Amino acid sequence: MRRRPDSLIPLEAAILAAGIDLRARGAAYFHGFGIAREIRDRAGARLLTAHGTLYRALDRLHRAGLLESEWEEPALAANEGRPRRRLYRVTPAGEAALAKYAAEAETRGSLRPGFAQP
Amino acid sequence: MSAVLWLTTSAVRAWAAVYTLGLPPALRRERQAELESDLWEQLHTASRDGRPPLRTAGDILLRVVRGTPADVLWRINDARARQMELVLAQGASLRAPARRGQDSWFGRNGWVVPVAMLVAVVAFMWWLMEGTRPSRLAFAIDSPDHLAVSDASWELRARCCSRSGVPSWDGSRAVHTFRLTNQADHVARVRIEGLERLPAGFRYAYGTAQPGAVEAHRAFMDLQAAFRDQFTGATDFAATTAAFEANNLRVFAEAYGGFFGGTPRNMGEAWQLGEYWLRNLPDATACAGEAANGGCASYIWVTPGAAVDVAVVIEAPPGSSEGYVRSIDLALVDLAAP
Repeated sequence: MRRRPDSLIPLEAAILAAGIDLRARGAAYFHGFGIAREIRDRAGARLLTAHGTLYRALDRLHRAGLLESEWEEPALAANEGRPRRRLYRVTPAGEAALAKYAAEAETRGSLRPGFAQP
Repeated sequence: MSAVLWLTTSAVRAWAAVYTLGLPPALRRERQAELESDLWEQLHTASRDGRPPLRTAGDILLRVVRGTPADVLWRINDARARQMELVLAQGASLRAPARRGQDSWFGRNGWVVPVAMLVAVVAFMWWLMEGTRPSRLAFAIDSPDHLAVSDASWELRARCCSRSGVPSWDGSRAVHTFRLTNQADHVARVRIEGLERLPAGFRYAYGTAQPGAVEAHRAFMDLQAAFRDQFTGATDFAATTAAFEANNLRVFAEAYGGFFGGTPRNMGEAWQLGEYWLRNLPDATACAGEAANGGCASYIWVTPGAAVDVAVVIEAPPGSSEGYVRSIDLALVDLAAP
């Protein structure tokens, strides 16, 4: 069964929530590993989100317009001696989708631990 | 970067290269670059936090293994949608002939290669986690001039240690066989010294083996090697099996008390063969025991000009990786020598 484009699964909601939270703390953008670590810390989990699961979710959020992304400047990465990061930012549509998800989850009483409301 | 981290990151890159195979180059590069960045960040963070390389490798492996179903689903469903977006963005037709060939090669939804490679990755992980054989155990046997040692062979099986872990003798058994010829004109009374120096907890035995058992043992090991190498084509497995069954199966089956059925399916349990040697060497009863208990008081009698087949069996204590050894120095001592 196909999901509606604006419906979220818990991981996608966690990505959006963590992204918004990071932005509130001054980090305008996040990258894949950074958000995986943030989600782990927020949930008090032991393991990082798996590669496939994480990047599939990021890809879907991006295609749905809930995230926007850009690759960072090559010079910046080169200066720090690391590969380029793909930087993501939660869009207004992403915030709305998360608010809707949170409202629905609250109605169902199933908001997950570590999930910050926007 | 340590070898285990190099191996792990290479596996991640290889898997990414496989499941993105056939995608538009831009999409493929994008996913691989994103993973490359993720790998670097994780390695960098682990190094900064002082996390041991082995644990970091385990973390990364877990992330890639747990994510493989999502990778495959992404490849089958999501990436196709991305392909369409890209094609539409370029103003091309979704029914372009070039796409058809690609679809038929990779399956209608591009699933054949990723699913096949998922199976390969799972098989690789199983191989990695399954117990490995430590590198060859060296037996050095010193003997007086009149005792000739020939036709030595050995076997070693380990049950515990993963290929990515620390080598260990935990639960391993080594069986070493050789032919001992007495070239002197007196009856030799031979003792094997050196086993008593094994770490505490090791069990060992030695004694004369049944006639033909050494040849059978060697043939069996050839067969095992052929079984192991058959997939690489390095050995003619069928021919080796035929030779074994024609020449040695009967002797071998008798020597091993009927445990071995002669089919390749038994190979996985072959380490248990050491149990036979440990229990059934004709004159080894007085010798078998804890290495720390003072060594072996058993003797091998060899008449002048005669040859006997000797087997040495060593078993490491289970449940611990302590006491790992790579070589054993043995010495044959003829107590009857003038």
